[in-house]
Amino acid sequence: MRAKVSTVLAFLAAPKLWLIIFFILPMMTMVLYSFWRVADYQIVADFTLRNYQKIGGNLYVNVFLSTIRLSLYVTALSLLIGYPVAYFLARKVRRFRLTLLLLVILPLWTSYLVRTYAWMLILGTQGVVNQALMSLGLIDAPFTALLYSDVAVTIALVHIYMPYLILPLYAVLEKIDPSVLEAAWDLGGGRLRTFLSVILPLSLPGIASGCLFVFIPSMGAFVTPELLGGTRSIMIGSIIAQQFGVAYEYPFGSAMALVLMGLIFAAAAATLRYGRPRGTA
Amino acid sequence: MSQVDVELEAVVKRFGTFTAVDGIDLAIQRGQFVTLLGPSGCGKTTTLRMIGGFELPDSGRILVAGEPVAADRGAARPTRMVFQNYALFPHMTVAQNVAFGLRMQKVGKADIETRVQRIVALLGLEAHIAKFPRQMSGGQQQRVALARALVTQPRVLLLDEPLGALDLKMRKHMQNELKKLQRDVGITFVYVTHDQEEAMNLSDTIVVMDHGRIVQQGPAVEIYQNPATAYVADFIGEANLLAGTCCGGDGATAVAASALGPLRGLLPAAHRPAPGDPVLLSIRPEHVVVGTDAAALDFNHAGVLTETAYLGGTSRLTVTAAGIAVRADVSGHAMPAPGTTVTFGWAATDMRVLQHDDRFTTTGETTP
Repeated sequence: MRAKVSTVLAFLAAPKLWLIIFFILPMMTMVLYSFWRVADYQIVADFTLRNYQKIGGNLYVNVFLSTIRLSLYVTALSLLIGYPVAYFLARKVRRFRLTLLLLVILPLWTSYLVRTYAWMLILGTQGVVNQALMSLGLIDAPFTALLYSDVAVTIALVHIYMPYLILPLYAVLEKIDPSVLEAAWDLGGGRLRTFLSVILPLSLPGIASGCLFVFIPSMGAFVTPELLGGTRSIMIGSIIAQQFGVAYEYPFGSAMALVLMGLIFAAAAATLRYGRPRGTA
Repeated sequence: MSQVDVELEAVVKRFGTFTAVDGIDLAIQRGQFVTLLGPSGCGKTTTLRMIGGFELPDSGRILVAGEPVAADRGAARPTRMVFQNYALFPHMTVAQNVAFGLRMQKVGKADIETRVQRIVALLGLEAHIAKFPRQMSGGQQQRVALARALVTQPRVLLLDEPLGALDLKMRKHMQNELKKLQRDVGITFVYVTHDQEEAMNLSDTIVVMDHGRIVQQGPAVEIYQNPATAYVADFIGEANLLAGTCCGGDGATAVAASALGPLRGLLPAAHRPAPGDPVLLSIRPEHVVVGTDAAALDFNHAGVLTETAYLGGTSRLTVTAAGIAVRADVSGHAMPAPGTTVTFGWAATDMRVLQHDDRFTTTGETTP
């Protein structure tokens, strides 16, 4: 049996077609939109740089900066909490390793919307935290600053995205040759010095990709800051989402989305360039 | 004059229900090249790792340089290990790898530099000092591993099959380098291998291990010439092993009945069979004489030449008599044709009467 050449070509074309329809075309549309404008609630196709100039203004630069800052907090916290977890899973447990790994992945099976709402229940004025503190008599009136703040957004984003950091880090840590660590011990390296001069540098690729996996979605987050950030914590993702919703400003939204994408690409490129130990391919 | 560097007393190590090391006593003299030899699973690597402090014995005592081995002595420990897969730090250059141990000992910067330079020169690595491990060949990486261990001036160097990953030619070359290196630095080397040729080439003392116990130890010559058991005879070099039944002896020699008739041989020190005991009779292929010269020997017998193989320096002949196939290594290039009847034999001083061991079948049974 011989497949017809045209059949083979059709099969080869399918993925390309998929990419064109669902990736390249929308992207091109966005690029086009970003140079157009809205007049009388209609998108008008004439070339303008106004959208980009608007982003350069103080207001939006500040939102971009605070989004980057918050995403860096989220990434740093995830690393701080996730590294010990990944290390423990990769190098300290044997028997329950799979079960524990499953526990790390388990939250990913719940919608992040549900997880965001859960944090509202925990951090709200009538939430679990306030109720507990009040019933213990530690405070008289509930904290109102918990919900609708950078803190709430940070906590929720750390919780939502940390598994994406733990998994690649676990994979890298698990692959470190145990005899290399024995050699470090044999040569007199204590736990801390062995960690700092051997384990940490060798886990750099895992740190790099894990941090990217947290930083990128944090930069683009919009539901979580919308629900938990209120008016005090505004991230660029929410503003972009608004342009495609209530504001009906597709051109301005497209321009901001493209700038955001540019920032993320730059971060990814820098991380992948420098996030590998010396002496490796 | 002699001083004991490593001392093991009744050392036992179990992993779960498996007894890896089953009561070992061993004393290693200072400056010796000692090899722990045996097949995989015989406990040699576990023994080495216990000397290095990587594992602690379940019972018994290990002293290195007079001090008990403890896991927490850090850089002050008198041993250093060279690992089978080198275990170099992949993200460090050769210079950084070698300097690691000195940095951990908080040696001064200038001092580190001179000591690294010296050891790198000793191992001929000057040209590679800025390279990373993956940019080097296996042999070069092995040298870096040696330099990294030796630069800290250990009292005892432990080597766990360090040449196992190299190809044959490189292995031979590194064997000679290791021997020379050990003479140059003059410290005790404890070496683990399953390669008997390597052990014989390198060691002052070979310690043959089997199932977690030491079966024999001594210089290569002694182990080869006077194997204590059939296991040793078979593992180190080659041996024709014939089943027999002891029918008498005089302390130093014994006579046993076998398929080839009564055979006399020397007894190892620890083996004193009583008449009626099953024994294994061992004769090395190079001690079997084939041809007219055999007629004058203590034992000779007629047999049929069943196989010949020309190996260059020697030829391997297989002679079959009474259902027993005996391998013989003879020199010379002219060989009788297979199928001819020949006389073969050996001197009683070349035959050993060893304890029976179920693991070894009579030579003949494998090639009837």
